[in-house]
Amino acid sequence: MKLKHSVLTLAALCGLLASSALAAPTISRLTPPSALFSYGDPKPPIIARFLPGQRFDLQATIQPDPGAIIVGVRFIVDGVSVPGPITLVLANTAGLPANTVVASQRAYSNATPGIHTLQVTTTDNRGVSSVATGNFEVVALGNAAGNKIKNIIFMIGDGMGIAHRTAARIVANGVSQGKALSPLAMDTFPITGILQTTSLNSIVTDSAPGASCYSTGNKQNNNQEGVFPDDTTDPFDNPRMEYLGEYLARTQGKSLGIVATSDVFDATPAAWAIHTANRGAGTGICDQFLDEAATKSNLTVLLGGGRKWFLPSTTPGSARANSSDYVLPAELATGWGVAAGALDPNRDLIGGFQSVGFTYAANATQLRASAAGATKLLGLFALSNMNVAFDKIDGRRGNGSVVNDYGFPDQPMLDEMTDAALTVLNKNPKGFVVMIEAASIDKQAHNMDSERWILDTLEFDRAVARARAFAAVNPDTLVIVTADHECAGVNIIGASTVSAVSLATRAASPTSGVAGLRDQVVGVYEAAGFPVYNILADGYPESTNPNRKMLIGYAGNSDRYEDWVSNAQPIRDSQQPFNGTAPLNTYPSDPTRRDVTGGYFIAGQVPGSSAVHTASDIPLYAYGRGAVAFTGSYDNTDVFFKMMSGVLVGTTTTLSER
Amino acid sequence: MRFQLLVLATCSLVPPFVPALSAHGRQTPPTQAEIAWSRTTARWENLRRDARAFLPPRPPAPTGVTDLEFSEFFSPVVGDRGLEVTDKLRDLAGQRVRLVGFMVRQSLPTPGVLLLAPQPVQVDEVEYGACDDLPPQIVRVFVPLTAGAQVPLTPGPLLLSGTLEVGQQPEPDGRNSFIRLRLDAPGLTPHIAARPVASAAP
Repeated sequence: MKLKHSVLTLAALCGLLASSALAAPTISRLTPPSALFSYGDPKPPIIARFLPGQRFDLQATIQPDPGAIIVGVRFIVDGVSVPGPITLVLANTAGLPANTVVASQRAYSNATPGIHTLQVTTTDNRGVSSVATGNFEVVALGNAAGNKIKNIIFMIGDGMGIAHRTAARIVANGVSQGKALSPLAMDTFPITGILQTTSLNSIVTDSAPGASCYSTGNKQNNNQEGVFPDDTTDPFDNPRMEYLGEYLARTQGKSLGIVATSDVFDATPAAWAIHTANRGAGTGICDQFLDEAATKSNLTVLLGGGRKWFLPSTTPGSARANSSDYVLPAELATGWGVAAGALDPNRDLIGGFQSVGFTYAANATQLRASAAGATKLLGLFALSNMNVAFDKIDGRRGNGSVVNDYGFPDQPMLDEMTDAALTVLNKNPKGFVVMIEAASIDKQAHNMDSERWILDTLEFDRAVARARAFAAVNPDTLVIVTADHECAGVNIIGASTVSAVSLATRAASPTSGVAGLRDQVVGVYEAAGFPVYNILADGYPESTNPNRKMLIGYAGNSDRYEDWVSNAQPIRDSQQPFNGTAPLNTYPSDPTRRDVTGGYFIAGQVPGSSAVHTASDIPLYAYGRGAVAFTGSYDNTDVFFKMMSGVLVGTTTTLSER
Repeated sequence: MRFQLLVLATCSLVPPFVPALSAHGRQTPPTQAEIAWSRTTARWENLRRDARAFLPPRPPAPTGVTDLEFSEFFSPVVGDRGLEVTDKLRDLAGQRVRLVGFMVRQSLPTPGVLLLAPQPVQVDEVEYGACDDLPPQIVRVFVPLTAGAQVPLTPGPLLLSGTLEVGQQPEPDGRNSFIRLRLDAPGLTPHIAARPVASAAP
């Protein structure tokens, strides 16, 4: 919604063409985005901010007067023309006039801290010119201040708000007489911050800009990662900004690790290395992990699901296809010095990783065996998203029905993946950055499957404990634990007032309904008491259906039936290859096809068949070198500058476990 | 005469359009109203839900035709790389087989081709390209229609018989197919557009 462009028509200013029908070109977009360009507002907050020397593209969309053609474009920073080639391509998104062009100047950087004025000037073939003005900021990192952060362990509990953490603590550790019996690992972090999560184009972010804000320092549109929006349909040609991993590999030789329990093409892992406007372009995203990230980011560890993107299309189970692959424009590949890519559905991407020195692990057993000896590690433990902790633990206890149904009975837990990643990454004496994501806290909150996201939060916290242990013996390490956004408007509404047997009986009785499953069951305030879960040696509850169990409500809910009893089967994961066949096709398809028997229907406040992300602030916890900088309430992009300040100029304070 | 495409009923779910069943399958073509109805997403979702639970028993397989299930395509435990084809699927390549599945609802269908899925599913190529959630068990079915003719969207379970092909093959629409079914040619009759009919029974 552009209210006003600061477009000045040079010709009009001169009065030379005042009586002519010739109109000046209209500059409809200037990248990086700024309030100065969009609204004529030069005041902070400055929308686009970068590190000194961090690379980003300059771009403008220019609409010529009908019949005219754009022939000249210059980008000017602080009154000085930016040297280097500018490429013009025709815009091809809907609604733009004919001959609209997108002008790009690639991989610009600026080493001088401060707010800089960015102008674009353009001339058409009749000699009529326009100029538009925006701005961007190069953030001052301050003076050198002592010890620098060597390693960053960045842990994302996807969708994890405050209540996910509270619920996990109640289940794992219990509460008695008003006090938690012991803290979660993340509770022991000395510094807490509160983050605002809105994206470039919405108050409610999705996981792509929700993660790439941390890895680039900039707001992006929903569904886009590592890029600003543009006016072409090609999802791989958007104006880029340099990632933290790319910057630190280029300037300091650090390594990058990416660990996720989702498919590795998913938005959160991809938002640390891949530049695309389409978070769904799995073939191209996974190709770029090898083509770009392995060289430009020193990508050394990649662990998660998503093997379907790595198998040649001749292999059943492959999802590789030209339509989700990438080829970069030559000017972009040249400007950034990266591979141009190819449409290659038959590529053996696992073989490609192995050929540049990666050890490949296909299951938990192979992962345990390979970490110590590997210098680079690729682990792909499922064809798409990995199974969740609830089902993996069931499998380890001998009831592997779900993991067996999915075809992957030996998947690692996130703490095991964390240990393997840190073992391999710590072999680089220059340090590393690793992103570790518990992806299914979000996915199961979308499904409103309370026990599954609670156990994934427990799994995440066990990985947090491993990261904290690493940082305790490697005090040059910063550990950040946060989320990308809250998911589902989760909260703890109370506890059941009845026994597990009574609850199961009510869930199985068609006459229960609202009276039998809500009015007679949901205990609020003091009726909730203190639910007790028996934790086994593996760290997870013996049962998630104890007497008087904790109950969860959802503010971002779609329609669902609820009977409060743990679901033996997860909601179908549509990305899984066996999804459509027995036994997976017997799993419930959505939250209105589960818990139906008891007859307690809860009408959703949102349409569709899953709960949604919310815009609420999210917590951040920090431990180790530089942690103290993270206290307070601030924007999610600030996290990037706080981290990089600690890495680049250092910090005077190290806070460890309290 | 053998009918190669039989539309079985999803009777419990679609009371306004209860098609008749006989040993040879549905006996009425879909009406225009029915086709329009099937294009309504909400109704499609209703149909999708638990559709397989309502599958009627299939008639006995004709001589020389082997019944095949989607769940019989690949080994249920995935190896270190991809899915592994079962002996049954490999042995049936080139043979005549019969499958029950659901026609994928596509926004960009390919003339003469339907994608057969183990459950009702829709994909929107216009919005998402071929980046979709179709499982690898998808069977690409070649329907002997007049050149260029689209296979009409036909909701409900389909009982199809034809010759099985196994092996990866790039397709003109950008997809890769791994399992294909060439429907038995019914002479010159485009047997979906004008299949034999009789009146509906209650």
